[in-house]
Amino acid sequence: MATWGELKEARPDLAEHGARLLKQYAVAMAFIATLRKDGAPRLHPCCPALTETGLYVFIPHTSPKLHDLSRDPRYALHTFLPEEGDEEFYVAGKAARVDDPDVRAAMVATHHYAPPADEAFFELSIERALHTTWENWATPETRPIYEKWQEA
Amino acid sequence: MVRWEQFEKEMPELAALAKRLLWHESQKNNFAFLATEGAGGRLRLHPICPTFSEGGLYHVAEGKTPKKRDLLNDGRYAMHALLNPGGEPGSQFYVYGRAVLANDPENRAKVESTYQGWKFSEDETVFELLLERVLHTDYVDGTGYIHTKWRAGGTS
Repeated sequence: MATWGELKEARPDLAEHGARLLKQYAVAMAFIATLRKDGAPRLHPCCPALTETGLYVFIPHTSPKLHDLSRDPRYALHTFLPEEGDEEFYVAGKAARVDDPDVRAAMVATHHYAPPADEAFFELSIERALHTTWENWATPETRPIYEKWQEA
Repeated sequence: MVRWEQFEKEMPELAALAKRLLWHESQKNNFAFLATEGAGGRLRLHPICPTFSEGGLYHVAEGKTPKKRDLLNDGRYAMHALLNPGGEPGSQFYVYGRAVLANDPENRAKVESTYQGWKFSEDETVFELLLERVLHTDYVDGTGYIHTKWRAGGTS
């Protein structure tokens, strides 16, 4: 399982695509899927936070996502689709709660809002990453072009 | 677990809003994100172009995509409309349920006809997305998030 910094070292091209798509709007936005108690997927938007070394997410204490990740850390996260162009970026792996106040404070300092103290703070470790572009979009010859990274 | 038409019958205004949130006029298509679960709880998450045909909500899984394997193996899904596509700030539409194979030739032809210029290849497979629960969330200035929930068999 890799940190964002380790993904950058292993595949700087993929990490660059990911960072660009995560930050394409004024506020970093993505969809995150988690596993419900019954094992079915749950899906909601979130505001991830990205540093040079880590990919993080704050989760309100009332969110079902918090219970999901506390019980089963597996997640999948997909960037929003760009308004122009057809490009996708997706990572999946495991989330780990971060309780270190210094790490949290550093993240809050760079985040677009100050999360309430009771919002849980998770680092998203990466097992696999996928960047997709499309050739001949919206034609019968549409073809995906994949760039992948997976933990060895 | 029910068809879209049952949800539409019980919650017509919410169903109409959901259709507006899914539709992207600029691309003449519906767009959403679909989460599925693969072997061993491996989560997958990708954009899709769902469609409506004769009271049903459908997804067409292309070729040999892992999503198709997930839906054939388990079928449970979660689908979320993209955010703010129709000028309704903060409005979010989310549904989860189970996908079932709906790939008979007659139904394939009906679903295919809802897409402009898309001719299904043999290995493209039609799934109907049955609904278990729906959640609509709206953000209202000064009030916060307003949630409207529906579940098959009883509105909450």
